[in-house]
Amino acid sequence: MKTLYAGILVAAAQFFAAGAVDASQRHLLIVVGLGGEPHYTKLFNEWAAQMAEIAERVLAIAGERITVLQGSAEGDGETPRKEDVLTMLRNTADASTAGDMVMVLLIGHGTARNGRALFNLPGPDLSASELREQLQLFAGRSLVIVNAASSSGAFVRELSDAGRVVITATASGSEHQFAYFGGHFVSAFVADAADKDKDNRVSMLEAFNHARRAVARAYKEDDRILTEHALLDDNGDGVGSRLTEASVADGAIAAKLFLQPSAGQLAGDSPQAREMLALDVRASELVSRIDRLKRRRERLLDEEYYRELESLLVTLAYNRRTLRGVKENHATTLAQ
Amino acid sequence: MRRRLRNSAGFAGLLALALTAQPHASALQDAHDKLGAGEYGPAAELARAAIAESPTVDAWTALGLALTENGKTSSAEDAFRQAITLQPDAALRARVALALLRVHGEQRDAARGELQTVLDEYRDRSGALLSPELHSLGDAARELANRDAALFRLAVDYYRLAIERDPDNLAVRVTLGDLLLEKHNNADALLSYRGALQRDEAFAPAILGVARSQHFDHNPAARDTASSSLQLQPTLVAAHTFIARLQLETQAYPAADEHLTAALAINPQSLPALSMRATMHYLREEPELLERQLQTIRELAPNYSAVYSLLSELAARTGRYRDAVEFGLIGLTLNDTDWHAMASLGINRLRLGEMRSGRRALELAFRGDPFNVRVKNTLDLLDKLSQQFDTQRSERFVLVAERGRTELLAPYLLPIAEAAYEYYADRYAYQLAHPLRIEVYTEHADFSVRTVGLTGLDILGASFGPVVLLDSPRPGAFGAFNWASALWHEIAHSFHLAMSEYRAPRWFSEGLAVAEERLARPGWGGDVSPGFLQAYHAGKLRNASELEQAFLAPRFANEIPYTYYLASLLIERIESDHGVAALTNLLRNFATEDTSIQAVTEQLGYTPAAFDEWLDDYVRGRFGHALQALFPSPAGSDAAGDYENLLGRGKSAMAAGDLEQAQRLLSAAQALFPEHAGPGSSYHDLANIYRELGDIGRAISQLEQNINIDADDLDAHLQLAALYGDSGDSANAEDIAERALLIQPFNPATHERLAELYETRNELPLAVRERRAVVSLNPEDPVQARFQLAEALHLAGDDQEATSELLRTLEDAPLFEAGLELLLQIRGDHGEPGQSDGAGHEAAQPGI
Repeated sequence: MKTLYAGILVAAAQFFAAGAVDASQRHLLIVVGLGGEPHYTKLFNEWAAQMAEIAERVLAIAGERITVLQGSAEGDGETPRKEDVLTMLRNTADASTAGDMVMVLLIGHGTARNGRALFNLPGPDLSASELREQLQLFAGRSLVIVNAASSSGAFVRELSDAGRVVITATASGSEHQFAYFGGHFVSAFVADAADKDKDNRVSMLEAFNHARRAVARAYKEDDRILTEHALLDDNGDGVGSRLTEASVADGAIAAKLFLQPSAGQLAGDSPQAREMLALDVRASELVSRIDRLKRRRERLLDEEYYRELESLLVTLAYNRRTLRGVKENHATTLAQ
Repeated sequence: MRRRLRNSAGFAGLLALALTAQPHASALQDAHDKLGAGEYGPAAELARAAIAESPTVDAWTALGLALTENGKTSSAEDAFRQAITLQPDAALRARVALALLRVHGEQRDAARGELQTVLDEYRDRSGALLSPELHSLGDAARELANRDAALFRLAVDYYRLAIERDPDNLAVRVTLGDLLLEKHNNADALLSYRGALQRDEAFAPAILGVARSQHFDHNPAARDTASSSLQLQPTLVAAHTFIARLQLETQAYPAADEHLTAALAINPQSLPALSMRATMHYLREEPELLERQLQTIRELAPNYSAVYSLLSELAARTGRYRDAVEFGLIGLTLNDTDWHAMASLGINRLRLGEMRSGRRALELAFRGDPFNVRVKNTLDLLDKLSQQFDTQRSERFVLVAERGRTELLAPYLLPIAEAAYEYYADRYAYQLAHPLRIEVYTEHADFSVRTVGLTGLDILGASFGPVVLLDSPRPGAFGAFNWASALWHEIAHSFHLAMSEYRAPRWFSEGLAVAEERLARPGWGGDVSPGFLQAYHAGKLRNASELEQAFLAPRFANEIPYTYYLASLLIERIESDHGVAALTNLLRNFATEDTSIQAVTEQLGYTPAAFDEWLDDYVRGRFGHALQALFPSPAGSDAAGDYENLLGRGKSAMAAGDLEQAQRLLSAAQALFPEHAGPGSSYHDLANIYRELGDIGRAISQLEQNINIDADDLDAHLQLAALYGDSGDSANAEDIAERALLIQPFNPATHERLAELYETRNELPLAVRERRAVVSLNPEDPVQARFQLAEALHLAGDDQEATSELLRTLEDAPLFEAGLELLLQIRGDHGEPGQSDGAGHEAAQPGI
């Protein structure tokens, strides 16, 4: 029992050390705030609907773990109010457990007044400090907070915490014009180009970078000055990064957080599923070894470096090939 | 009276002193007034009268200044010596003026010593000095600054202090402006000139300063401005000399000569005027007269190097870079601190591809004069070339472009360059020394600096002979252009410059280069436009015998581009009637014979008038139908024969959605003037109409015709490539996409499309070339791009390179399954490392 328990602990440690594979559940909370004009209300609702649909269909998040709080498209009395949002957060905290991943996506307009960062809702707005308090209910979960509203930059300082990913559409409260970031962030999860490392999943970092670049490109094509500069913070220092290529302050945690579970995690609890999970663990180890090799790059001769890299990649290639085989068998079994 | 006081360089202080002796003061004041008004003879007489009354330092100084302006140097020196002897510690101005008279002569060292002594003596006494005295100290510092760059700042400081001391001292404002302009700081120079004019709008030297500033900015108003300064002060030698220079730049030699004669009548020893006359003899190819003039200058001022700086500058301006280098070297043997000559030497050596020695000269020039903006800009650019640019070589060319772009451009650009060389070598029966250097600049500002040392130049390519410069192909400030045809054009120039020893007239060389483009590929070399024909019809373009003037002194905005085309038609006619030998003979003859239009027409067997008529016949013969369509005869004005009417109505019908009517009208317009292609013509619209109607064949035909006339039309190329691709004609799709790259090689989508086409047709080396291009263009999905390159390399049989690219791909994307699978495929699937039996036959092992 002890040995088994120790073995499980080791495996779990390996999971979390790799960071890219875990057996947790994903929860997605989407809040659509006040649109103001019908055009924006419609757009915000579209983004929310798209995110929910992608989450279920593509990212394989169970429907019961996706919550969307939005008013009707016509903007009548159903628009969520602050107490609705706080209730939703409490409910999700109750429904989730330590190790789960929770992403909160705020879509709408924001303002910054008298040093307070606000997400606009009917009645009292939701402040960053109020949200911060509520997030204390999520101890032990991997939290990703995405505020896609204008003037959202000030949320970074309030919500920043160790191990937590905070993404905002703007760099500060003074970037108050409508922000396009949200739509591009949502579509990142189904954009091939967003999956930079081609591991068939889009990490939070990849989604952020994809959206950031798409926003910049859109402004450039329209010959407009860029008035929104998205930020990402995941090192808990309260300062978000724009994550140009040279930036190294943030991104390490976001790079390993995925809304989409791994293939192994999706497979359930059959022997094949356990085999797939083990293959994923092994793959994670190999990826970690490649990362460590890359960090030693400067100290190695080219020949040595590439020889070792090739060896690891070949092993990984066989791992993936084996995984594909197991998946096919698993799918066949399920079909029967 | 008030104006005269201002014009007399602000002698308020002197006047105050002189008022102690009333008649003397009055004569002296009058002398200064005359001096300021440019009446040097009367000024001298009045100064003598003042001396006779009371021989003061100021009176002797005034006499010396008046005599200097009239070139009576020896008498001027006597006058200054008198002032100095009379009261040395009050004769600052005389001491400086005397030293400046001697500084280019055999007593150069003593003169410079005296200037240094004056500066040292008065270093801490500026508080007690009058404005003109501070002006003199500034002049002393300026003269010595060639040996100590810090003295430039001291000169500026003294000039500024002089202005503070007496804001009405207009002469020092002009001097300051001239110094700033000398350092290519035109903005501040103009402020200084305008400062003077705010106080006296009729101050001729300041008006001349504004003219110089306009000239710096290539503003044609410079000539009129300078002329107005002469109207106010006909004895302003500097104005005569400046206007003469402007005349020389447009080859108006008799007019230049008149002004130089006038200048030298006022001051026969004016070194700037004598230098300009020497330059005139050089440009007129009068070597004996040139030497005689240089001898005159040597006798007056044996160490005067500025004449060679001027010769170097104007030689370069007319494309004679080797002469420019020679003149620079001669100037430096006379005065090794002539930083102007050193800068000119450096820049012209760079133009000739002598990069090391050119850089060395510029570094010396910068060390001696760190305020020369042109030198600094060029050195900064050379730093950029060494730090941020790469080279690639072919048999006869070295391509220099920004890191990351060289690799992309080389496979396209170098083959075109080699083809151009072989073509011209054969056609002209001439071989160029090689390698030739091709520099491609992304930043247009860098291109401008390389070309003239300053930003703001409005051309896209240049040839100095061994060095060819290109603005990087991109849709930038000047729109998309066909860089391949631009390269073909500039390499033609390299041949023309060499064959004619840099003496081919511009109309000839440009006309021939454009004509060569047209012979090389369909759509290259410019095409006839409605604007061109309108200008021709209105008589705005020059006759054949006057084409050179269009380049030297264009009269309207588009005259130069239209003249390129017109000159190419003339060249076409020459070749058509007299053969290519006539062209190559002319080129060779330019090296040793008269290059004037009279000489050219004589060689060809025409008078200038007949030459004009000959070209006119040719233009009207070729484009008579278009001229008729653009300008139908008034009697019975026929809308059916009116091109612009039909075109306009066709476009309106299209905008209104009436495709049938639009097609009818646009087709009618096209039949009248089929040579009009590109944006604004009928071709794009008709292609769109046919596409809407489902007639892809005709749509293709329209776009093909269009790009065969206008090879700069990127949009048409891309549309046509897509149409061919969609209709399954991959061979033509490839061809057109390749041609699109000659306009815009930095479009990843074009390279991707080409790569797919080549892969489909198993043209694997070309597919690899295109995949490399995609990778180098920083695509949105670099992992996918590099993987596709690896795939293409593998298919092409280069597994070593394929593996290398694949490892670089997977390094950043280790879970990329397609890449991992390709890796196994390339390795031959020998099993996991460490699990083989050594014979490589082990089956694939599980990954755990």
